[in-house]
Amino acid sequence: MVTIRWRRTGKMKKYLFLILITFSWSIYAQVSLSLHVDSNNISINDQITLQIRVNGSRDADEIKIHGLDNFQSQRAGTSSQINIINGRTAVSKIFNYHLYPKNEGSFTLGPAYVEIDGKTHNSNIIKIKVSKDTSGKAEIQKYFYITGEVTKTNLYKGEQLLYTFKLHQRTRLFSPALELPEFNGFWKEQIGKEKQYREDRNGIKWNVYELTYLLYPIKTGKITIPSASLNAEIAKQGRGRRRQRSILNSLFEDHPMFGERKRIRLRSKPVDINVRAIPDEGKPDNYTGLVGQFSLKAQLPKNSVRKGDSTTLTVTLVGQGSVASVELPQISNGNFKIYDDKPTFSKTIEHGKLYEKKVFKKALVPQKEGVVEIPRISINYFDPIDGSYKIASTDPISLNVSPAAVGEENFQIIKAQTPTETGKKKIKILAQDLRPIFYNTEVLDHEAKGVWFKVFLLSLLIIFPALYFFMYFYQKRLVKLQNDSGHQRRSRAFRTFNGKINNISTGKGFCEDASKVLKTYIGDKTTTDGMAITSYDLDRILLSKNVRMETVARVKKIMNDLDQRQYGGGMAGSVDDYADFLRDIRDVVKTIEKEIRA
Amino acid sequence: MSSIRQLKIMVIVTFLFSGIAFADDDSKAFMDANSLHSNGEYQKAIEIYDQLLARKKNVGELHYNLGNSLFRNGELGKAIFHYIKAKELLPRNADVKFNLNYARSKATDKIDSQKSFFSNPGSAFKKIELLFLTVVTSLVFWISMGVLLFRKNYYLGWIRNISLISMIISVSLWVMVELDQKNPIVVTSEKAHVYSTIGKNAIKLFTLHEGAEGNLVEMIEDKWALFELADGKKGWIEKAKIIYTLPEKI
Repeated sequence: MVTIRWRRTGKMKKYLFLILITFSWSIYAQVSLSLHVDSNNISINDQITLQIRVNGSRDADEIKIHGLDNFQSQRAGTSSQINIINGRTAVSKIFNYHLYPKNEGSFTLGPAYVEIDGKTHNSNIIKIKVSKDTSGKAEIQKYFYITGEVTKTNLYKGEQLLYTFKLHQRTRLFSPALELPEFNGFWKEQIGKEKQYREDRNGIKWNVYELTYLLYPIKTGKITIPSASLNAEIAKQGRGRRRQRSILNSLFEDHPMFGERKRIRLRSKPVDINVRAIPDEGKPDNYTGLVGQFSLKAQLPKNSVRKGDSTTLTVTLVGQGSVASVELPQISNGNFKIYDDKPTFSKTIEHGKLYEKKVFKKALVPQKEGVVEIPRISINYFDPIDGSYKIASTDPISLNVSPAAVGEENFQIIKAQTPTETGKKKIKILAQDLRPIFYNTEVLDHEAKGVWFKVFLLSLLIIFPALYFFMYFYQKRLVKLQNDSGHQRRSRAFRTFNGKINNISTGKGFCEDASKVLKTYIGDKTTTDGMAITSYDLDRILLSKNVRMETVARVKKIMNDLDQRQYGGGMAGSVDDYADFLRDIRDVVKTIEKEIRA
Repeated sequence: MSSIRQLKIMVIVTFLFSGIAFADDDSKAFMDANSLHSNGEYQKAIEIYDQLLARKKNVGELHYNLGNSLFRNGELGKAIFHYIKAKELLPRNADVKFNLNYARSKATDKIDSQKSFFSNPGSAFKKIELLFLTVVTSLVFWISMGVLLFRKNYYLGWIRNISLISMIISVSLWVMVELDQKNPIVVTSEKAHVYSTIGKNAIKLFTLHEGAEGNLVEMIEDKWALFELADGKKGWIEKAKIIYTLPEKI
């Protein structure tokens, strides 16, 4: 038989995977479910280890078990196995649970059900007998025990009750898990944090772990507070070993890695509480449901105060009972303006009794001078000890109100300072009021900008990008001009012409110079070689640039006249002739400029 | 000096002095209203603050002072309304915020807001402040863009990028605040019934009390106003029982 545990090396996993693929038909062929326990005859304080084994599949996740509600269960891990026996492969999945019996008696555990691939498989049944206390408990209780105690078992609805859980231990517990009762039928609150202390009982020293809960019954009748239980592990004592602890014991036997363990379960006794209803007989009309014993006290820091100043009335309600939701009746006699502060609430345990305290603070601002009285303040409550309704009340207090200081009649803002531990004084807010008005007339200049300012800003949002795009296209044009020599020639043609025509000198070379200037102009304007232009080329060049026929004809005539005079030997002698030529040339060039632009 | 020029100077001087005279009048009225408030003559103070607000409707401090006088005079609804207006004009003023919250705490109706923190992150700013910020960041951005057309510069590139991000943020905030513009209404009468519609088939939906706030949706016949509460409830209410402002045109 070969047994291979899951979770080996990566290489091993690869082989396993191949084997699983190869034999997958046989792995999932037979599915069975079985239950196993380590003992089926136990005492109420023992535990059982339940093993649920699913053979032939690793897909089992949800398993239902009949009869499990008779036990408290705790998961103790899951494992998978692949077994190859004589060349045949089998997989299994094992679920482990720790079970703790809730009651004594005979119980049936199982069958368990699991659904795999749409088919339901069920297991065997196990019978378990849970007997009463065995000698083991007494042995264990020499070293550990737990209790759940209450301060009273007969009480009225709404009356205060304390539940104290205690764990006494003399040796070490491993992995303790505490299960406190639900406290159904009570309003509950934990009092303080858990306490740990040492206690001497009949000469034996115990380590005590204590938890206290404040309970108020919210229904009448018999209410049972169930057992508290503690599941833990203890170190097993070896045969023949001495009970005395040694350094080696501490290092190895008690160490989680080395020591052998035993699981134990400790339970407290359930507690029955009898809750009675509060009697209707004698119930005052303004009774608000307060149950317990209470006292009410009122005090002022001083017996005299100026009119308009404030003094703090402190009313303290203290007692055994729930005072958190108590509100004081209104004090209204018209002698004061009253500003309530947020009350403070605290709890203290003295001699095993819980006292709740609520302190109300009121800022009183006297409205008239002379001796004014703060009336009696009263609260009704039900006293469960006497079984009757009672009244807790303060004594009336007289306050001497002197006239207000001159100029301070209308001020009602009060500061109260209480010394703190550091000696500094903390400002205590007694009342809240509006913040004062603005007095400075300069605020009138703070008038928010009007609609036109908004329009102006909005227009700027449009103008900025518009300016940018203008600059963008201007820059583009500049670059284009710099890179386009033809464009430069065309745009500068007229300017160049004007510069040259004015410098032509009358005389022998006039016709040649004038012809050159005109041809250069036409060449620049049409981006051609001007000096090579003949009168025959003019039609083709100028007509394509939208120059009219008449203008072309005039150019031709001028050029022909100039050529004839230059090459034909006939030279004009008068200044007027030169001037006429120049005028004609200027005139025709201007016409060409206009027509090309048009 | 020609007579026309003399006339011009006279007009300018008269205009300037009339401005100063108005300013003096306003300051005096403001001081009078403040001292009336301090002496507990709230009704008279309210009247003067109202007159001042008719001339200077965009002074947050005036709305705030008026709110205080109204609150002291027992007019909770109007006080809340003017604190809201003050908060619009002075969004970061702690006193305004405090008094608005204090006055709101005295209102009877509890109206749960559906707003989350992210619904309006620009609410700490005035609309004009956000617009101004947008213009400034826009100016920096476009100038840097313009200069970069002619001259490449590493640092200028960074200025352009940062100003672009700032501009996007400020524009977003400004647009959000503009879109989130509310026309607050506050109930000023002790009780005000809210109806499903106007006319015979109107069903009374719920009752509001003084100080309850909503947002004006529509005004009809100059008598009824359709409004929406912060929790999404909607209905018609008598115009006489609320205080409101009509939306700005621009």
